[in-house]
Amino acid sequence: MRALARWGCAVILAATASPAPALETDQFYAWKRPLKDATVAINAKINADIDAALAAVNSKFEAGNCPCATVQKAIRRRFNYLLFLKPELWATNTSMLDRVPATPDEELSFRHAYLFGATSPLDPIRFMPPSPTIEVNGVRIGTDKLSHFFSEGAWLFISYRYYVRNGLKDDEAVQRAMNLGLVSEKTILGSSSSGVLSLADIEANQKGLDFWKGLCHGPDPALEKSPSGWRLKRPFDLGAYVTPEWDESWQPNIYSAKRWKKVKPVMESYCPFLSDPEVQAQRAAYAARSGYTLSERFLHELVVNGRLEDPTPYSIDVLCGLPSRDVLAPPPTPAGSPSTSSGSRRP
Amino acid sequence: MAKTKVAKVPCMTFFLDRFTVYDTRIRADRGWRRRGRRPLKIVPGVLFILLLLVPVARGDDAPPTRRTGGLLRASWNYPSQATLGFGTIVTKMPANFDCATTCLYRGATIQGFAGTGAGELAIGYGSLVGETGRGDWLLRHVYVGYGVRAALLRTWGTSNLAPRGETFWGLEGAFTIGQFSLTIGTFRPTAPTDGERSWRVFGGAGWGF
Repeated sequence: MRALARWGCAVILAATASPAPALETDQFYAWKRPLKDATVAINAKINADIDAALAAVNSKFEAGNCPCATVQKAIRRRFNYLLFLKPELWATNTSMLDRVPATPDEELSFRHAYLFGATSPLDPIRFMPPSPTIEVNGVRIGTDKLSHFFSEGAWLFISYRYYVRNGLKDDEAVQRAMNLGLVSEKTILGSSSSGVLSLADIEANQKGLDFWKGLCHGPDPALEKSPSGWRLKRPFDLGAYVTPEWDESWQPNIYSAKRWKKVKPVMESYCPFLSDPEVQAQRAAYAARSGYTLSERFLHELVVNGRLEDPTPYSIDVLCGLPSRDVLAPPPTPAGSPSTSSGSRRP
Repeated sequence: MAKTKVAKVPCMTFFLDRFTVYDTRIRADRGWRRRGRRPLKIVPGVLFILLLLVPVARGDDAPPTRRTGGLLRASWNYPSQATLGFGTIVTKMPANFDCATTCLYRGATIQGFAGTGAGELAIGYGSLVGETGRGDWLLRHVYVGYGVRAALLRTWGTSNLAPRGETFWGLEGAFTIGQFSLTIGTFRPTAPTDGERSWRVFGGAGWGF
């Protein structure tokens, strides 16, 4: 019996301590494949879910007689599931969105053809399905970003709130929360498990923090209490948060040496596409919109301090012999100071 | 009634091929909920189609229908040792969801396990993300999930649990992550003999759910 207990504990420890496999995505595969913009459909779905969460809270607490944090929690619970968030599961199944791969059959073949497809069945990356690509606000993103935005963003927000309660200023609390987020990306959700540290995931996480923060905090919180209960002052708009930095073909990942060895040949096969007018137009549009986001500034500091590897060598530009684009460096401005922007629309 | 200040908000409506965005007017003092649509000249037939698609226009898919998914598990358990399990989960989800790729299944489960050392019948609740892959019904991959089930277990064959041929009942929890599954449960004999320990912990690890 004792032996069994020891054996059980060992298995549980091994399972929980071993790196959980992360969901990966591939926007290179989506190049030259048509996609309709999914912003309206996703917004409708998310707003419907938020509406349902608000209705539940308002009926549970008479006239919404509860703090904003309770409402926020109810919204979070509405989206939550283990690893996969409900919005992501919906996005991979609904007929309302265009996806690449477009059909279930294509998706099953995509698993062997995508950036991380050339691996053995025992590779942790194969333990989880890859995320398809959708288009939001003109940016091509993996559906995994929805989970990053709502789930990891919520975790960052919980950390942020903890630091604020402990007397840290807003900026410092955000910085500390992002540090914690980076630890999870470097360990269970990224580098250690799959050998892939996704800067695009970190970007989505940080925008998720903005979203959750914006519900109850700041000068103009999105949730307000009316005589009939809690309501959203303005509808949720995912497009306001999505920037080119969410696209992993634009914002390169940082790979472990072992992973890079397998990814590099697949990525090189996309080099000819870089001279295609359609791909060039997409990248030019990204370049025009790409600003210097908060997470880029955060990551750039880590690179400068030697705490994070420079992602530039992993970009397709460098790999294909094009002029190098320093992906995390602040863009030059006329005034000489780095500009911080998050794309075409602000939340 | 005097008109209040209005704002324009995009409202999604399904119209023939995928969605078309219409402007709707809302009252600024009543939040952003839909208040009315610009007059549209539509023939009754199109109106009928739109009415059929109302759930879609709200951001939903086709109405949920009941469906089942096949469950498979290969594991090493105590006391059943090398074990193969088979079962089904009954769930509800939109009819248009093709679960060849990841779907969320939540509902009642019925499972049977046969091992070299014991056999088990279990009934309970499960919640999992799985896919049928190239098949139609059997969930070939369960990526993440959990379940609780009431189980009846009978030892046989190579079981090293004495006495052999004893029946146990109990409650079992199951957890799957990255297709790797763990079960742990507490069981007691249906007819304990004198001096026999009443509750025992059984468990196992393997692939599937």
